[in-house]
Amino acid sequence: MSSRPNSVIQSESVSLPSIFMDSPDIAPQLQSIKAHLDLALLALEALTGISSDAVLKTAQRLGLEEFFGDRLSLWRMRQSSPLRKGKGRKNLDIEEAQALTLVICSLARQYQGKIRQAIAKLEQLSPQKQSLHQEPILADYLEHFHQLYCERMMQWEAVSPSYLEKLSLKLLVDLLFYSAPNGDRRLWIALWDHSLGR
Amino acid sequence: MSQLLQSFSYHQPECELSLQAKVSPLSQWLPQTILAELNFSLRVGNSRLKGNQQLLEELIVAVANYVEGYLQSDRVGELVSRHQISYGRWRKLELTTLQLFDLHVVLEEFTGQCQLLPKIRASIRPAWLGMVAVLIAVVGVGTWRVSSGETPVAVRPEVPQPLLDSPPVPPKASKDSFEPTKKTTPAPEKSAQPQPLKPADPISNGTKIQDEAIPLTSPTAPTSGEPSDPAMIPEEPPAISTNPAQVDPVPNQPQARTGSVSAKIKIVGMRKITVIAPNTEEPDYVKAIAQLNAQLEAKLDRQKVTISETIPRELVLILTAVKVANKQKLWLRAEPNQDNAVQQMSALLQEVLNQNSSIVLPAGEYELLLQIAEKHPLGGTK
Repeated sequence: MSSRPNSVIQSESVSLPSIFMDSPDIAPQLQSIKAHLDLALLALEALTGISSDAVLKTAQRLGLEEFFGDRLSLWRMRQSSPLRKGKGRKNLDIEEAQALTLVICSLARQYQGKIRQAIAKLEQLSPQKQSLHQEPILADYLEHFHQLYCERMMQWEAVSPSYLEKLSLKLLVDLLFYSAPNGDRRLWIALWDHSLGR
Repeated sequence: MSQLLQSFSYHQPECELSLQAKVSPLSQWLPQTILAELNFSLRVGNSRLKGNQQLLEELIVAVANYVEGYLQSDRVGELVSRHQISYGRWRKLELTTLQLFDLHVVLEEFTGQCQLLPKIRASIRPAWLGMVAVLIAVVGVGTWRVSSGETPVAVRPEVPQPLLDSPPVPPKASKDSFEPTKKTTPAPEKSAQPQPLKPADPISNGTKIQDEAIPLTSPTAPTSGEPSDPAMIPEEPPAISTNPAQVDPVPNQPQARTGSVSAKIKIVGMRKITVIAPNTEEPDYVKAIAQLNAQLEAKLDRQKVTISETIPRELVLILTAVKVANKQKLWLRAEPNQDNAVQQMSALLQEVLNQNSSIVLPAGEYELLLQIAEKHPLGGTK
């Protein structure tokens, strides 16, 4: 506890290409709590098409307005991800990270039906080694995810499309579990475990 | 000690869990229902299985560990579409992701509401590295009276009352009450002496009850005391309500009432309960603590002492702390030194034992928990 001197998740850099080349199955993107949260939200956006207003509404419903005053404050929080293009703030408070965790899990619960639907299709197709793109719900999701990732993240060129597909599917399955009771706690644990490299 | 057989069931699209179990009377002090002697049947996908409490416990642990490991994995390589859960000695469940998820949800819902009271079985013992005997000296048995003619007054231990200006952060509240006895080893008399309430608890008819050190429950509390509010949030220390009108006057302490505003507490003795805490090899403190619970209850049962006499507030709080610790396991997980939490706990218990101290709680766990929970009360913002 005292090992974290203040309640700010310090700025960390993710030197993507080098780690990425060494072990293509490991997701360095998830080793930053800030990037992980941003990506989980991005996966939700890609699947459901929710706008930042919907995110803000959910935050409001959870009584977290103080962290999500407007779209700008949401953007700023997400912009703290070291993967993001452009300049933004570098720090994210623990409280902000918790607030984002709660919002993501609440949204995941809200859209659990759609997440289930996508995973059901994924389970149908995967064993048959068929292209996931033949199922509209998966095709849309994969495309949107790819598009959003390339729009927002720097060094996206360094990430192969097949890797990005795997990352997006992992995030999709993760979202299902975050929609469970105690999902927020699971996500919170996962954030820290990833960041500690466990 | 009457126990009711109850049925529970949980449903998800791919999974159904039905169970029957005895409800422990300890449940009334705790936010969760405590179950014993459980039998269950489960359908998940096309698999069906039936079993007893031990099997369900094994399944719960196996699924929780699997899901945790799965979510914590950084691997994005092959997408797992078949999940093999090994549990028990030879058993395996092969599940799709949706089946795994539904099973996970059903078990989480169940463990959120209920806790299993493990039986102390001789066969478990060899698995333990050693045994740590823990003395819980139940300090001071409060007896009190309210003079006849007064209207019944509901007495709550001070703990559950949240501060006015802050949302209730129950672990903190518990900490406050533990603070005085935590590190020091006070003489029992001292620790059990009535102290004035910080914020005097004004009760409708002007009567104030000093209940700082001792819970005031009637000797018939197990049957006549109101069970704690089932809607209480899990982390909150349980409230004990009692009706003074039903208190059996204990013959040897006529209370000299000082004025009309306070009921006096008198220490009539000290009871010791010896508890064996398993010093488990793995950091499976949840189970260790559950064992502690079970043994406490077994003791209480065997000694045929009424719970109101032997469970003072401290003990209730210990049990509550255990609940909180169980519930909030996640906060510990983020901490680097969580791995030796059980060792810390055992060491502390041993230390306290050596000093012949009066009260013991899973301190290593609990303090850690409190510090983290205070800093990052995720549940509190919900």
